Amino acid sequence: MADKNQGYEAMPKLSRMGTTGGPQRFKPREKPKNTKGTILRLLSIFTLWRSSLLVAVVLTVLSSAVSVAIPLLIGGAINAFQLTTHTINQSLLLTMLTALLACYCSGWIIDTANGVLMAHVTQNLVKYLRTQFFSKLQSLPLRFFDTRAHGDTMSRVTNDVDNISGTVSQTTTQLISSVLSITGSLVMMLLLSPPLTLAAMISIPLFLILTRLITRHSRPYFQGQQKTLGSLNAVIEESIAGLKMVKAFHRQESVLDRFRTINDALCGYSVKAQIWSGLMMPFMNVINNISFALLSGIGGALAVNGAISVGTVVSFLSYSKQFGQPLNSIAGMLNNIQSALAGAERIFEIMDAEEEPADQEGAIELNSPKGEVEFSNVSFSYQSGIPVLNQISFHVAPGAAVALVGETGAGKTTIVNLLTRFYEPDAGAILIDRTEIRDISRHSLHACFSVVLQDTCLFTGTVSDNIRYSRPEATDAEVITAAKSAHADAFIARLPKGYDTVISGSADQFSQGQLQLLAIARAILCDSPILILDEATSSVDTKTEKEIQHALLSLMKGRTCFFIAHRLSTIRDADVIMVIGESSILERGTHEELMAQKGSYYHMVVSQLGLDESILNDSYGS
Amino acid sequence: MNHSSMGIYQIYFNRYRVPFLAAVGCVFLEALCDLMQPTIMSHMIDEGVRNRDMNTVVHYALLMLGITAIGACFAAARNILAGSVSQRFGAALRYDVFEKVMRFSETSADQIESGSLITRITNDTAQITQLVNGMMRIFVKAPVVCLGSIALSIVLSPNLSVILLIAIIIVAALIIISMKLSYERFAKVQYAIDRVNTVVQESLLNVRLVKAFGRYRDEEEKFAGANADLSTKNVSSQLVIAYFSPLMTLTINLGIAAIIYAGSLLFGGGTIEVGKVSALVTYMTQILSSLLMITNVFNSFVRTKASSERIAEIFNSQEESSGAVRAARTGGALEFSDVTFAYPHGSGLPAIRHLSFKLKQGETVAIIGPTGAGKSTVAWLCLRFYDAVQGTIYFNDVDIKELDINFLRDQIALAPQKSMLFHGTVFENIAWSDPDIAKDAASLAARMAQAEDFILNMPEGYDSLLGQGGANLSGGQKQRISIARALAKQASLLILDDCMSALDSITEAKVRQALMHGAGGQTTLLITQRIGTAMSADRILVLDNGENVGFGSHEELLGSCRAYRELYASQIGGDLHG
Repeated sequence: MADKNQGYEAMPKLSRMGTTGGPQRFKPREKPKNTKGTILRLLSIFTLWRSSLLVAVVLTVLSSAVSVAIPLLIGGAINAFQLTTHTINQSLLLTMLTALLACYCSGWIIDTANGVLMAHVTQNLVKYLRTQFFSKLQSLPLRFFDTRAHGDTMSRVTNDVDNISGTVSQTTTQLISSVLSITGSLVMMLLLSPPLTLAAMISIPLFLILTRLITRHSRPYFQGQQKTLGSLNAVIEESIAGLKMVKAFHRQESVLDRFRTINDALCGYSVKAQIWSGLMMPFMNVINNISFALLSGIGGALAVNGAISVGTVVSFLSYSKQFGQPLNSIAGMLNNIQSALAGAERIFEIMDAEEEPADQEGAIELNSPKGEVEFSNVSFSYQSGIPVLNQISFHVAPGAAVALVGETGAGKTTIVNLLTRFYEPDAGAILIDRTEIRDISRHSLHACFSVVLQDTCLFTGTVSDNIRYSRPEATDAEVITAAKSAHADAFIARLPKGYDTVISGSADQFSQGQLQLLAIARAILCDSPILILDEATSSVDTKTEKEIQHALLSLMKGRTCFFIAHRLSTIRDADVIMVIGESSILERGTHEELMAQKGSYYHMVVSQLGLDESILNDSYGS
Repeated sequence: MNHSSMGIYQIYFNRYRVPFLAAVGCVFLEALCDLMQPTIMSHMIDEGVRNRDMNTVVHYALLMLGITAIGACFAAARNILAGSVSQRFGAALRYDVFEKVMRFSETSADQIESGSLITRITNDTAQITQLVNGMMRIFVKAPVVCLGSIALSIVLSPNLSVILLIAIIIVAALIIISMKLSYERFAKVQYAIDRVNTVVQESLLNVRLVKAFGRYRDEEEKFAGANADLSTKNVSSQLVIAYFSPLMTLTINLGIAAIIYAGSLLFGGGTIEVGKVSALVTYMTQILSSLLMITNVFNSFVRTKASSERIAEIFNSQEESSGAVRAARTGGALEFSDVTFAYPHGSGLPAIRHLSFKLKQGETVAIIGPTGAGKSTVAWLCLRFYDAVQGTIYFNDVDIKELDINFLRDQIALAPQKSMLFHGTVFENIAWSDPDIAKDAASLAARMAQAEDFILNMPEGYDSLLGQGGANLSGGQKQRISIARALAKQASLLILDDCMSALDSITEAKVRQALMHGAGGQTTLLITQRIGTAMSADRILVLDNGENVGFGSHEELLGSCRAYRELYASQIGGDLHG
C-alpha cells in the first residue's frame, strides 16, 4: 500500500542496504501492467545520465570484485599461522595483509565515489521527472483536473517520483552487486573446495522451501488484513467527519461496537500475518547457522585430515555468508522494483495525457479588445450522450451585464468554461470581438478576462502578492485602490502586518466571505474588458454584498460582465438575465420583462422568497 | 489523567508485561545462541584441528547444531510472542484512541483537524505498533549481540580486544557525528518537501485561476525553485551517508587487519591460538552490523516520537462533561438566559453576546441573520457541544449542565447545515436515531422531507446502499435524507440548521409546508438566511454579531427592528416597493 502520508519521509539509514529482507516483503505488492514497456521507457530516461550510470555500474562491479577477494585474502593471512610449528610465515602474512589493505582502501574509495555519484544522479533524476511532470500539468486541459482527485495527482508527483529514483536506481545497483557477489562467491567456493561447496548448497533448497511455505501461509492473512483495514478506515473516516452527528444522535456506543468488531478481526489477521512472515528472519538465521555448523564440522574434519587448511575454511565460511545473505534480499528487491514500476506507470499515464490544443499557426493577438461576445449554435457535453448545452446562441454587446440563472448543474458555469476556453465546444463557434476564440492566441484570449470564481483559494505569499496575482506589474498604490473598491481594505488593515501579512495555503485566518473579497480585489486590479463573477458573492452576507455590488457596479461600467448567482436578489440590475435549463436558454430579458412573463424565472423568484404568490401579485398585479 | 509520550508505553507495558518480557527474554537467549557460534568455532580449531582430533571436531560440530536448534526454538517463540503482543497492543491502542475521540468535547475536536485525527488513529498507531514489534526483535538483539561480542572477545583475548575496542570507539564516534549531521540536513529536507507539496497543491487547487490569468510560467518558475532547493537539500543529506558509511566499513576492516597482524605477533610468542584470532575477526564484523542496526533503532525512536506525541495529545484532550439528571419532564421548552460564548480556539471575540430568548413548548422560532452572526452556534450550545462562558441555557426549566448529556441529546433532533450521511442503506440512515423504528414511521418522515419520491426511484428503494458520506446522491437529496432522519427521531425539540440550502425553491417550500402541518407538538428552531423561510415561523429572532437585535413576529419586527427591515429590503423589499 502506498504511503498516504506525505509528511514523514523515512530518515536516511546509515547502512545502504535497505530493509528488503524484513517481514514486509511478504505483503502483497501492486504489479505493473506493462513491465517491459515501462522498463524500456525508464531506460530511455536513464540514458540522459548514461555516462554517470555507466560509471556507477563499473564502480559497483569493482566494489563487488573487491568484496569477493577479501575473504580469500583473510584466509591466506590465517594460513600464515602455522598450526603445527606455531610459527608465522612472515612473507606470506605481509603479502596478504598488504593486499588486504589495498583492497580495503580501494573498496573505501570506490564505495565513497559510487555513493556520491548515485546521490547526484538519483536527485537529478527526481528533479528532472518532477519538473517534467509539473510542466505537463500546466499544459493539461481543465477536464483533466475536474475528473481527478487532487490527492491522487499529488501522490504521483511526490511518492511515485521518489519511489522511481530511490527504488529503481538504488535497488537496481544493489541487485547488480547482489547477483555479482552471489556468483563471485560461488565461483570462489568451488575453487576453494568442491565438497564444502556441496555442503553449502544445502541451504538453497531449505531457503526455497521456507520462502514458499511462508508465502503460502501468510498471503491470505495479508489479504485479509488489507481488506479489513480498508473497512476500518471507512468507519474511522465517517465517524470523525460526522462526529457532531454521532454525538447529537447519541450513537457513540453503536459506532464503537462496529469499530471493535472490525478492529478485532483486523487484529486476528495481523497477528497471524505477523507471525508467519516473522518466521522468515529467525529461520533464515537457523539455516545460516546449520550451514555454518555443517561447514565448520566438515571443514574441521577435512582440516584434521590435512586435506584443507584452516585459512581455507575461514575464507570459505565468509563466502558462504556472502552467498546466503543476498539470496534473502533479492526477492524483496524484486518486489520493490515491481511496485516502483507500477508507480512509474502512474506517472507515465499523466505524461501521456492529452494536452490543451496549442495555438493555431498565425493565431491572432487581440489588441485592446472591446469585449463583444457571441455564442453561435454552441453545443457541449462533459460526457458524450449527456448534452449540457445544445445549440445555444446569444450575443452580448460590449459593456453589457449578463446574469446567468438556473438550477445547479444547468450549465451556467459551463458557459463560462467555454468562453474562457477551459473546455472546447463540441459544435458551434464562440466569438470575441467577432473573432473566433480558437483563432486567438491563448495568451491574448486570457488577457480579455478577469474572473472571480466560486471557490476561492489563495497562494502562499503576502496579501498583496495574492491581489497582484492578476497583474504582477501593478504598483502598491494600485493594489490598495483595488482592495478599497472591493471593500477588502478594512479587514486587511486590521491584519497584523496589513498588506504584507503572509498567508499560508490553507488561509484559515480568513472567513469564506473575506476570501471572496480578496478574489474580487484581484479581479478589479486586472483591467480586462470582460468580467466573470461565478457565485462570487455567495458567502458574503447580504449587507456586505450590497456594498460590494456598488463597487462592482462601478467596475462593470464599460466592461462586459457575466455573473452567476443563486441569490436572485443580487442579479436584478443586469441588462440581460438568461435562464439556463434543459440544455438551452429558456428565457432571456430584463428582470421586469421576465417577471411579467410569469415563466420559470418568475416561479424561481416566488418560491425562493417564500412568498405567497398573492403578495407578489399585489406588486406585479396586472 | 495526563500522558507524556512515554506514558503511553507505560500503560500498555503494564497490560502486556508478561508476554512482552517473555519475548524480550527469548530474543536475549536467541542472541546468546548466535554469539556462541564463533567461540565454539575457535575451540574446534584450537583443540580439534590443531591436534588432529576428529572426535573433538565432531563433538563441537554437534554442539553447534544443538545450540542452533535451541536458538531456533527461542526465535520461534519470540516471533509468536512478539507478533501477537505487538498486534494486540496495536489493536488496543487503536481502539482506545478511537474511543477517546468519540468522547471528545467539541473544543478538542476543533483543535485537531479531522484529517489529522484520522492519520493519528491509523498511521501513528501503526508506527507505534511497529516500534513495539521491533523492540521485541532487533532492538534487543542488536545491543545484546554488540555487547556480547565485545565481552566474548575480551574473554578470548584481552590483548587483541584492545584493538577491537579502539575500532568500536572510532565507529561509534563516526555514527554519532553522521547522525547529528544527517538530522540537521534531514530537517531541512522535510521543510523543502513541504514547500514542493504546497506549490503543487496550490497550483492544483487554483488551476482555473492559473489558466484564467495565464500564469503558467510563474507557476513553473515557482516550482522549479522549490524543486531545485529540495534536490540540493536531498543531495546534501545523502552525501553524509555516502561519505560516512564506507568510512565505517573501512575502520572495521582496518581493525580486522590490525587484529590479524597483532595476532600473528602474539601467535609467534605463543600466547594465542589461531582459532581465537579468526573468532575475533568474526566478532568484529558482527559488531559492525549490530552497530548499524542500533542506528536504525535510534531512527525508529525519533520517527515514532512524533507519532507518540500526537497520540498522547489525543489522550490528553478534554472529554465531554455531563450532568446526572435524566428524568426531567418531557417537552421542548428552551430558554437562553444572558448567554455569552466565545469559541475556545477562535478569535477570542464572543460569537454570542448576552443572548436571551425563550422558546415555548410547541412553538416554531426562526433565527435569521448574516453569515457569522452566531446562528449555528446557538444550535451547538443547545446540544452542549460547547458550554456557555456566561449565562445559562434551560431545557424544560432545567439547566442543561445538570442534565445527563445523552439524555439531553436524545430529546433533540438536528438536521445540520452540512448533511452527513453514513455508509449503509437509506433506511438505516433515516432510522439512525433508533434502528428499531417502524418502516411506516421512517417512510412518513421521508415523505415529509420530500425524499420518498427519489428514494423509491432508487434501484432498491429504502434498501439501496449509500456510499460513504452519501457519495451517490446529489446535495439536495442528501439534505432531504438528513431532514428525514431528524424528523424520524421524533424528539421534543427539532433544530433545522440552514439545512435546505441545496433544495430548489419549490421543494424547499413543500418541505416547509409539510413541517408546519405535521410538526404538531414539536418545538422547532429554524435557522436560516432566507427571510422567506423565516417568515413562516411563529416568531423570529434576529441575530447580528452574536446579539439579539430583534425578537418577535414578522409584523412586529418590520415595525421595530431596523436590521430585520434591511434584510427584508435586500431580499424582498425591492420587489414590493421598487
